[in-house]
Amino acid sequence: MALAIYIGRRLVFLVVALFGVSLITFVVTRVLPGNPAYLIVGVQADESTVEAVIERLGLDEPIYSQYGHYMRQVFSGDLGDSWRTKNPVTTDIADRWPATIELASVAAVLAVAWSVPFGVVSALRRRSLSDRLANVASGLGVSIPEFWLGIILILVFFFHLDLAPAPIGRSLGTVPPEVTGLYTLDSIIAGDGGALRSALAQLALPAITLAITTGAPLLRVTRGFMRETMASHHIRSARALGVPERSIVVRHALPNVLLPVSTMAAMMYGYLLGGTVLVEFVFAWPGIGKYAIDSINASDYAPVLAAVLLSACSYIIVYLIMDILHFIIDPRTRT
Amino acid sequence: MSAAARTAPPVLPTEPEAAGSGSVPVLDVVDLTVGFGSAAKRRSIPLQGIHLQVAAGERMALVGESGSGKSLTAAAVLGLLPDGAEVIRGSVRLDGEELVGASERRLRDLRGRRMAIMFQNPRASLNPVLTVGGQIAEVIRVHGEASRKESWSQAVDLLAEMGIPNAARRSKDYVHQYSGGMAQRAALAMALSCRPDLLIADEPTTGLDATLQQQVLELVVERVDSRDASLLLITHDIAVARSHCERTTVMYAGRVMESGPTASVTGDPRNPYTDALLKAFGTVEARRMYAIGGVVPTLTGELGECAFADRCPRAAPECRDGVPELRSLDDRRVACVKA
Amino acid sequence: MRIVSPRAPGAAPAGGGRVVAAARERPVRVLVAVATAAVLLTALVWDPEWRSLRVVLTVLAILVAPTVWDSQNRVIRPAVAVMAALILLALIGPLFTRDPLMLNVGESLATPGGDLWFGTDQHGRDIFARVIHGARLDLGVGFSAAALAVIVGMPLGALAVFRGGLFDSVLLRISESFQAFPTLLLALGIVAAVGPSIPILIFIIAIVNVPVYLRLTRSAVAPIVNADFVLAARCAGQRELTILFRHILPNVKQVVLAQFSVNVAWAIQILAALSFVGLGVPVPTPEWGAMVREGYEQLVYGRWWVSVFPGVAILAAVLTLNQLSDRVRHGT
Repeated sequence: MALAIYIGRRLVFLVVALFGVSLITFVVTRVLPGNPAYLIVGVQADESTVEAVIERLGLDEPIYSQYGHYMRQVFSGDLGDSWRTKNPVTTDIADRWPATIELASVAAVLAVAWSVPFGVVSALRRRSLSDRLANVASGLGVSIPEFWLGIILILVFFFHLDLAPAPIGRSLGTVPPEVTGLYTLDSIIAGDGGALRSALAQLALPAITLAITTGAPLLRVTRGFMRETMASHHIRSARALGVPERSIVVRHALPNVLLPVSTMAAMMYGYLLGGTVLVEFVFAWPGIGKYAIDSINASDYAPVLAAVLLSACSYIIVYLIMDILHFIIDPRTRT
Repeated sequence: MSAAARTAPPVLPTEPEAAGSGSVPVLDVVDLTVGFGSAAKRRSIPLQGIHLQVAAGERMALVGESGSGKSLTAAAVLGLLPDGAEVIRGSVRLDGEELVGASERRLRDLRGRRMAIMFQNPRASLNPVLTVGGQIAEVIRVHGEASRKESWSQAVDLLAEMGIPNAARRSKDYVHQYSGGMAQRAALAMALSCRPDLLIADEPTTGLDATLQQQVLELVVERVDSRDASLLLITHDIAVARSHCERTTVMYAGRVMESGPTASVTGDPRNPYTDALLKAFGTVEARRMYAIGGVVPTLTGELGECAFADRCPRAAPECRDGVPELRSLDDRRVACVKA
Repeated sequence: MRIVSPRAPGAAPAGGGRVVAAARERPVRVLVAVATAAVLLTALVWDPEWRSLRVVLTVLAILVAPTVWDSQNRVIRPAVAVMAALILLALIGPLFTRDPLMLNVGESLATPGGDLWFGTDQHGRDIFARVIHGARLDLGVGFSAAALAVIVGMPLGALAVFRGGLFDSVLLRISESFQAFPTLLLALGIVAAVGPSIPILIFIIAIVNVPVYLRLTRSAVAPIVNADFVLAARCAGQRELTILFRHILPNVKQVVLAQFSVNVAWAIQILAALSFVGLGVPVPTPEWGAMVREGYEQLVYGRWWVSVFPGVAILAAVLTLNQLSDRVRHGT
């Protein structure tokens, strides 16, 4: 019952948040200076096309009815056409979305895999070697520019050590028959070892780049929560009654730490779904981010706004799912 | 460290007043001195020459202002000093076994099984994401051979014994579903789960409603008695000591000021500090508020004089000649040159 | 009864006095700083030559230098000192380097060494000179954008708490929606719509950061507004404005200062990223992100220095700012 109410409340929140997001993209497209008609059809369009667009979008109407138009369009799945690719933006995005999801997912898994255990271990003893290492790693990881890190990794692992494939997206090797659009999954489904290997090899550097930069804040947060928990009264009590250190860490401290850390990880994943732009650009990864940048550079704006809207929505939805899961898991909210 | 401190020998009085008849005390703390920082860079000495004996089945109160080192003494007994603190000298014996320098493994085995503790703020001292019963059952399993099922049913029995209604059902609840009083009962159940010889109760009623305080204290005393265990009750309230404990040790600024049977310590205090503490609690006829002048000194080194000298109404020049030794006087021990 | 005064040093009263004195002068300082920043930023927008970035940096140096001098705090001091050194380098460094725009085809893509410490790029421009000049732009834009975000976000956050009700929840929902957008993609979208130029970049970076301050100030102020000491001040008949400046904002100062430092770092990262994908500063301008981009094309030929040095510059500036923030947050 409590769960139903909670989910209901979160769904209301979802609607409000999506409304806010649409309002912001609307403001960006229609209200900021510049003729929005050009944003839709591109600067090379001729006079009559522009006229037609102004007519269609109702740009001569008052702002609120323009917003109505915009919402109706978005809800009918019409995000405009890209004049660069000559396709509807929705089609283009459907083609590129799996590449971004694959990269973001692998990066998120890697980021959690290195940062959370490291954060937990480094918090156990102050001024230990792992504590110092964690300090350096989180400091550098938070500060290093993503695109530059990607370049350095390419320089080292492709040019000098020749361990990684060329940074030209994911087109090398055989492409498995499409089921999900995620090459790693598809090649497993097809049972194609060679395709899987080449998919993983091409994923490695971009995913590692993202894992380093997004794992660093996660490391910091995990370490902070772990320290706080280890210093808490209930841990002191457990220790004072002879509970062994292993159980203190694993049974008593970890659940308290993993609850907030999982929220952070979900936020990170939601962010990654729209935050792979730079890395996609550096590694020519054919996802949403690269699509957005290529479109901007060709003055083709409809895809950019669609990408912005899409990534904001996916963030909100990932966050919502995590929130509800939390409500179910955490004993403090469950009853 | 001053010259005076170095020359002040920790003279150990023989035990004229030890309860029982020559049997080994359950807890025997002798000349316990604890410092923060390393020997080369000593930052402070919060405990200096603590003597504390608790006999089998005895209830001892450890009384003092906040900051006097009561809780730190408990931590030192359990071998759980905070980071950066170490035992400089002295010994802590539990049933005759030396704990200072004992292995972590041995200490962990003793904690919970032979000596246990319950803290103030009971709701914070239970884990919020584990069930109350599960936490008690774990302590039972850690110290014995009990299976998961046995330990759980023992935990339920313990909760019921401590007066938790519907114990079987409530054992599956989390601490946020417990009231403060119930949480403290659960903490008592957990502390007594392995029938320890010594229970340390560190301000167990602080933060509870006044009406609950008495109930919880009585429960603690009763349950400890029924197990023939000893109780070390840490409190700042000398009235609590008077109504619940046979013996009382008064601490001030990391030292023992006076120790002996509660009736004589509170009825006829020999140390001016005990006297002041009693007056401050308004337990003597004088109804007027009494405040002890001055503040508790911060100890950055071993003081070479009586720590209370600055605030003491009876201070004399000889109080500053050295640390007053804890000497036997009639039925008790007093650290005051004027006593 | 003889009452003996305590021999222990009376730390508490002395410390308390200092806090009171500091609180008294703080509103003035905050006001001055905000006013200067506002004037400078207005000037900045109207100044197509972005000469005012230099003014921003000068003022910063003037503000930061006494802090280094004053600061007795051993944790914060080194970080502030490094920061001051960076600002100083950005300010006067360019006076001692070669012309960062001077083309020299004969010397194109020279390896680092000799007079050319960092080598040259494909047009023979001195990379060292460009990195130093880039510091002025990157730090200037970073500080300006973060300052603008604070100026807008902090009062909004404080107002949200004071007003409460609908105003508060609407503002909160909007800022939450803002945070759903990946910063860079949102900035890209806006640049795409409006077109890049330095004042616009500052505005955009500021806009995407306003919600951060709004929420930060809101969450820092909310628990204080109903605190006993504020109630006490109110009972003592103090005016709302006095209460805000004297009792509430000083308590928020530390978090906001820490956040400000982080935010300058973000701003630098966003600017560099925008330039890296070709949507930041116009082409020949020495800017770190744009330089990394130029170097990326040279990587294929093994000419690492073109993009490595400007990248190190970004890392150094961002790292310093983040360290400063950490130390301000924890080190007092």
